[in-house]
Formats: sequence, structure tokens, C-alpha cells
Amino acid sequence: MGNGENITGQELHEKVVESVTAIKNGPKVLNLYMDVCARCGTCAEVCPVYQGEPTELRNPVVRSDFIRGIYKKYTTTSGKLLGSMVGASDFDGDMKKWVDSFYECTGCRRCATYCPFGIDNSVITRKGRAIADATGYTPDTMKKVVQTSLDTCNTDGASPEAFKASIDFLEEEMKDEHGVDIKIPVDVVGAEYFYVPPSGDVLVNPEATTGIAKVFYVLGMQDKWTMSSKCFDGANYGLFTGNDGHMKADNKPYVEEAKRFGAKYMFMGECGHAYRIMKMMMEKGKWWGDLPFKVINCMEWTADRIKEGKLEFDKSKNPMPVTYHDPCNFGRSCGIVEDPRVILEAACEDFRDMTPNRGENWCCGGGGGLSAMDDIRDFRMKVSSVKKMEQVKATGAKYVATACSNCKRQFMQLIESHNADFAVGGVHDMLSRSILINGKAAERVDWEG
Amino acid sequence: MTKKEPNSITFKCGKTYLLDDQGFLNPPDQWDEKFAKCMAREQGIWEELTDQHWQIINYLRKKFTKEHVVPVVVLACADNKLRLSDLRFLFPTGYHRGACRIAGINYDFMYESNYWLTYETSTMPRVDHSVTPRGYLSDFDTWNERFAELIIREWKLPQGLTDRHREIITFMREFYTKNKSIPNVFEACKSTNLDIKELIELFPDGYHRGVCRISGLPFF
Repeated sequence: MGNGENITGQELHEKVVESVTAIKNGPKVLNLYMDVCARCGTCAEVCPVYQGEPTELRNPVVRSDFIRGIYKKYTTTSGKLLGSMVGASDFDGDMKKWVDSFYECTGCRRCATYCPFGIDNSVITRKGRAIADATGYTPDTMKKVVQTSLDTCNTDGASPEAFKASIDFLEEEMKDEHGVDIKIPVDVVGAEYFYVPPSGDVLVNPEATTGIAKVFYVLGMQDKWTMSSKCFDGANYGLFTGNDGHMKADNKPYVEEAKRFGAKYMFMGECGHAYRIMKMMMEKGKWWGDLPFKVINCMEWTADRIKEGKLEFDKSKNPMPVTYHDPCNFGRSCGIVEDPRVILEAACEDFRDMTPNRGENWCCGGGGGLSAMDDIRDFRMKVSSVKKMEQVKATGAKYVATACSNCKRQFMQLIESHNADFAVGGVHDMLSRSILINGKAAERVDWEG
Repeated sequence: MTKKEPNSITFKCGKTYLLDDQGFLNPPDQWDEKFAKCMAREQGIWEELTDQHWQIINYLRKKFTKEHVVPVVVLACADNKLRLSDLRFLFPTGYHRGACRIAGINYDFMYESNYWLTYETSTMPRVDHSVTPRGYLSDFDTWNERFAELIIREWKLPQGLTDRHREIITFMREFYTKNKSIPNVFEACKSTNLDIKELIELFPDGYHRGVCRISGLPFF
């Protein structure tokens, strides 16, 4: 964990108070979150972390009050005069407590769905993490991931050569499966679709990427899409550390690359927060002005092709019960809820929904970047994921499909530490295994399920 | 079969190794071929390690000890000219949990060099034995030592599958192959010099449900 060793207690106090009072002149919505909380406790009732193991510091209200108290003390008249009677408090100098607490919120925004005032505690969490980042307290893992991503444009630190080697490998893999040449175009200027997956979907669990390549092949659009050998990782940890500068710096090369290709669509892969940043923040917030391309998601696009009847499947390739875990950033934040289900229902014999689902789903317990942090692994395994495991087990599913690398990593570790008997993977993975090319599904040795 | 303590593992051969909290060898300089062989059995590789296994293990050892890197799974496959499914076949518990663990790469090293390495999604333990509802092997010819180990685990025998077990199982299987019939309990005991006390100790489920079942003989 970063310890902010370059900063004295006095400076820290000033910096925190300054950042919090700046909220007053910042976005209106955050002001509202500071002012209107009625402390009804609805958020605690629906919070995956608090429900996992209720302790005071895990209550979203208490966590948000770290910032709200300082805000009240320094910017409101009642707070200045009446102090703790109206919930105002001063910064107690314990930044470590802040970091521990703000990195226990998964930023899933479930509280915002249920709060009578619509208070989104994840925004306050992000503010808290931003203050921690500005004072040098961001956990080391996060710092490192952000730095790698800024240096190399991907969180793996993989070079363009390594990327190309893996693409060659995937093409051979598909040739073995189908006996035809299915291309994954790289760096093609003039392609319509610029595919941006999380790097894990190319280098570690590449079936999602082969799934996309197969869809393009079946539709006869092999020459219409491309990947970039430099920008192949949509993951952006600036969102999680709260540092807007990093978030934008990480984002910019992708937009430039899309412009360089002259792409009509930025075609986002199975990564929840990457899509959310592109679609809901970058595009809507006009970070880089008006764009010559549209941001779309691979799942909605594939689902539309399935509805048009252009893709055929051999469902018997996926006979096991399959369920879908809605990644928070897709389900709640971007409204991509029906499309993955269309794909899974088309590609699998036995698709079952988890309860609750769609916008009301529970976080896997690894959201907000926590999934990458192994120093809080125990917390993730035993606290934040308790409800999710119950829900998955209730479906009886043997395969949990989810469209988010962080969710997948979290589930993988859950399976290991709880000795659970299901597998986890992506949505296009299932499609890749059952899609028909020239009337034939992939020939693969099935060692799973 | 093996006795597990929080941060160390003692294999049947009697050698003890220190592990980290994720069950990976640490410190890494303890690694030797014996570790690879014994850890392989823990990772679902029940037969001897083949040349193909060693190719991957040596490749990972070289990368780890000489170049201080761990390649991502796709590149490891590409370098060794393997399909992903081949790798899964060779290492049923996966690349990072199976292959890297056997090659003695510790978890922290992998996590620190690139946390995505530890993100690989799961493979389910492969089912290569079809059994009848009573728990007997459906096909006599598919028997292997792993099947016997599974049944021993079911019986929770502290000493695991011993050479004495193997001796008796070999007799049973040879007898069945030759005569296409199942020896009765007296024939079996007499030929293998087994008395009733030892039989119950080695095979707590008795003769038919114990000795015959573990040898992969059909139910009659």
C-alpha cells in the first residue's frame, strides 16, 4: 500500500480539506449527494459488502460520511456553527483508514438503484480514492497497473510483437477448429470496426476474441474490422484510482487510433468499465470533441445479428446449465442486459437466469478494481462475495458466463477457495464453441464441464 | 495420501517442501525434479510425466530462472507449438495453477510481474471414467491408477494407495483378463496371501464392493 511518505500531517490535512471543499464548486450532482442524505440505511440493506459481513466501516453511509462530514464542517453555515450536531466533523489525519475503507467499496452502484434520493455512493468512493491518490496513498498494485497501462497502452505490459504472436497463434487455433482461414486483421487502416477488448481476452482467455472473429467471418465481413497492435486493452484503471488525468491519458491513444484507422465504429469487447468509460463518459462528455465514429458494444452487435437470423448454432456443444452474471458496469451502468442473454440462449442448451438479475444484480465482490488486489483477497473471498456465491449455487449452473475480466478473475478465485464445481468464462466463449461455420461447429477437445 | 500443513507439503516419497499461502512452491530454489513429479499427481496428472510435460516444465523453468519472466498462456502455447486444448489435456488444472505450479514458480512472482497471469479462467477437472450408478467402472479397459486413487480417497485411507493394494489389484485384473470371470474371495485371498484382517484394513468396503470395484471389475 502506498504510504504517502512524502507528505506531512499538516500538508495532508490541508490537502484533504481543500479537495473536499472544492466539491462545492464542482459538479452539481456531487453537491447534492453531500447535502441530501437522510441516513435511512437503505443502501446498507442492498450493499454486497455490508451484507457480506456487517461492520460499521462497511456501511456505505459511514464511509461516505468521511467526506460528507468535512464538507459540512468547512462549507455549510450549520456545520461551522453546530459541528457534530449536524454531522460535521474534521479530518482525523488517519488516511490509512480512508484507503482501507474506500478500497472496500466495489463501486457497483447498487445503492444508487435503491436510494430514495438516488445517491450514488460509488461517486463519493471515487472522490475518496482521488484524494488518496493525490496524497500518494493509492495501493501499490493499483499504482503499478495504472503506470503499466500509461507506459504501454495495456495493463499487461505486452509489446506489439507479443500481441502479434498471440494473434498468429489464435488464427492457427481457429484453423484447427474449423479447417478454414479465419483472419484477425491487425492495424488495417480503413477498417469500419475497431475492436477494443480487455487484453486478457487476447492473451489469457482468448476464446472471446476468437468468437468475435468467427462472427465476422460468418457474416463475410473479414476485411471490415481490425485490432490495433498498440491499443488492444480497453481496461482503464484511472476510473478505479479516481485520477481523472490518468483516466483521460489512458483513453486518448484509443480515440486517436480509431481516427487513424478511419473507423466508423469503436467496437468494444467484453469489458464493463472500458465500455462505460468510452460510451458514458468519453463519448457523452465529449472529452475529445465530436467524434467521427460511434461507440458500440460487441454483445449488442452480435445479438442483433442473431435476431436477424444470420448466425447458426449447434447448441449441443454447450449442454451444461449456463447462467449469466451481469457485470455491474454493463448491467446497471450501461443497460446492456438483454443482449448477452440473446447470445447465450442461442448458443447454449440450458440457459438459466440468476435471481436477482439485470439492473438489480449483486456485485461479484471484485468490482471497482478490487479484483486485481490480492492483498485483500480474504475480504473478497469471505465478505464481498458471500451473496453472489449463494445466488450462483441456487441456479445449479455449471458455467457462469460473464462479460468482464475483473468478474472472471474474482469468480476464478472464488471457485478455487470455495471448492465450487462450476466454471467461469465469457459470453462469446460460448458462441465460439457452438457457432456453425460452413455447417460445422468447432472441433475441440472438450476437457471442461 | 499426503499430509498437508498450512505452508508445507509432504509427499508420499517423504520429502517436504515449503509452500506459500496459495499452495505454490516458495522459496523457489527448493525445486527439483522430484517436486515436479509429486506435485503433478496433486494437479490431476496421475500417470508419469511425459516428454511433452517436461518440455513445458523445462521451458517455464528456463523463462523463470534465466529470464525472470513468466509468459502469458497464449505465448507459452505458441512457443511450444501447442494448442490451448493440448495444454489443458496435459495440465488439467490449467496453465498457471497446473503447469506453473509444477514448474515451481511462486504465486507472488507471477502476481507481481503481471497480475493478469493469475486471471486465467477455470477448467473443470476432466471426467475420464464413466461409472455405473453403483459406482463400478462401466468399462474394464478404462481403468487406471487414478481411478484407484479416487476410490482410496473415498475410503479416506490414511496411507493412500499402497504397493500391497497394487499387487492385489494387478492379480484381480490379470485373473479377469485371462478367465473373463471374477475370482471368488477364497481364490483371491489364497493367491495373494491375504488374510481377512488385512483385507478389511486395505479394502474397508469388503470384497465385492472393495477389491472388485477398485480393480475396475464389473458388477455381477
